[in-house]
Amino acid sequence: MMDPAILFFALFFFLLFIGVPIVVSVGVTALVFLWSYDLGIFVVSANVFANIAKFPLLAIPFFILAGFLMDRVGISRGLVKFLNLLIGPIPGGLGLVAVAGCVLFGAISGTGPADTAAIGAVMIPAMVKRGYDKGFASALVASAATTDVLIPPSVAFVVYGVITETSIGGLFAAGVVPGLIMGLALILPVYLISKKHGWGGDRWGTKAEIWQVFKEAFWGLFAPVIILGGIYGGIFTPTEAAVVAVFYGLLVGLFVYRNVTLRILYEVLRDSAVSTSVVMIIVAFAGLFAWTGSTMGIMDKVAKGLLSLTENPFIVLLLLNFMLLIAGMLMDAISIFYVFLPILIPVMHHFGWDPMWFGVMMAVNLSIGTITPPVALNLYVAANLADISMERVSRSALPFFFALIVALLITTYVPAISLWLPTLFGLH
Amino acid sequence: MPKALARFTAHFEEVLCAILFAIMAIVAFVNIISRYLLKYSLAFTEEILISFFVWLTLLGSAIAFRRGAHLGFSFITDRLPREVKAFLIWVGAFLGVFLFSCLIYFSIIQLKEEIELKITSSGIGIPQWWYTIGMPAWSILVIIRIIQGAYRATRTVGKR
Repeated sequence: MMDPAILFFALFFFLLFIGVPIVVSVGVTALVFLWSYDLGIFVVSANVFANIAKFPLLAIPFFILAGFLMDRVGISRGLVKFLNLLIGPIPGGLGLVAVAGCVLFGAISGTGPADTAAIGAVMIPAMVKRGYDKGFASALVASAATTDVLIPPSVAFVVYGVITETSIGGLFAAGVVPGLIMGLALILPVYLISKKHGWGGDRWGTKAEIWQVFKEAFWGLFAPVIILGGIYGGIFTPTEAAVVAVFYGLLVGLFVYRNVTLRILYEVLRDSAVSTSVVMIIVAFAGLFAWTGSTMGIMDKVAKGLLSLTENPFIVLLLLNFMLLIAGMLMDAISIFYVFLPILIPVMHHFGWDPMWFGVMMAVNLSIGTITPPVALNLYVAANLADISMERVSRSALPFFFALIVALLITTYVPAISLWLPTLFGLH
Repeated sequence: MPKALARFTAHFEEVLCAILFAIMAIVAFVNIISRYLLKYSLAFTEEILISFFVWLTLLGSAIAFRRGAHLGFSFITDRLPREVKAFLIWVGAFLGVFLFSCLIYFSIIQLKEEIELKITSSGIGIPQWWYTIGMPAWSILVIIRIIQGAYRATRTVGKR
């Protein structure tokens, strides 16, 4: 008889590799083992219900809805226009606008693919029009949108916070600086590549123009102030901040941009419901998978196996980074949290690692996973927007991948970068 | 089938999803307003929110199954012969149907128990099964959409 731990993961990866959707792969694996090891298969229904029905997780649908809504009413366009007049004309200027736009919109939206779609829809055509390579433009937006996982609000941090029982507000704060570092890391390759090809931007804006566009962009710039100010001013919980962001977007759309129709509202609600469900159904069944694995003692066993390799924390961290990067090529962040955290939490306790910093390290890893093929959600969205092949956009993403790896190593080995802001807010 | 009815059955859960989501947003917002302005917490609304959240997840999943929007790893299967890929799509669909059939089966057991023991919800005090019934009900829809989605996916295999 083979070790159940091996069988458990072997079955999951087998199903994953033959193209079975992730949610079905984790769900069926859990069911098979619950049944064959007689762990009380009757928990299935209550477990699935309970995995979704957690109040903090409600931040996910509302942040997704707020992001879709603010994009649809034109807040992302306003931000980009403003940035364009400020930094557009320097070499690679439009590239820098794309990076800054993704970081700023990241402070409104909660997921990388949504950020890619919002900024990419404006910036990719704009860059191509100014002579930038299409592959470069798409890969850049996809790579810059990885910062959205770190810049609060972040769906990934909500899930990590719920699984590890870490303060979600604290995680949000911890992600800010690493997110900015990732954005900064992208600037050098953008500048060098653009300079080599002579890609530039539009002319500088006049003061009057900048003022005019600032007034337009103001409502977009103010959204993160409400969301983050609300959370750190102690006024809102993250879930409440998400709800407030939805209604803020609605009011801006109704009274400032005046372009919200019932049809648009319907489409925004419908599409954000689908995006939410794609995440939440994985939460439901990957939660069951994690529960099954933990109950069977599989997860502890794998953790012990990992620790038996070496006791050196630096090497373990390097191994973890490597493992998470590989996992990021195969799966999305949410599945990885559920599949790997039950293994990693004992490892984290063993070394006395800080869960907040560990969450940031994982998030940087998994955000890079959104630009590493074959499963690369951001690249996929960008390639679709630009109507180019995944191969082309993946090749163009390579320099950005290396830049982000540098940011990853910095956040991995200098925990203070993540922890000083939550400490400042008294959340750590 | 008349066109309007066909459209309705095709997009039924999309409309339901949007309505449900709008209700959730409004309930959550009213809750915040009442907590801050009226200093009165509508904590009991939480159970409506989280139960609708479960419903929303299942309904949205049904849409995503039909659209083929669920996440997966198609790198290997994309490189296989067309017939093999089509076969594997049906394997995935079969497993999906199996998974949600189990969910239906066990949630009906849960439902029966809640009705027999007259379990009421902790916040509002209405019968708990009013919430639970969404699990089997919307799972049936998920199963229908899995089959539809697989049928659509196998027809477009190799057409790229």
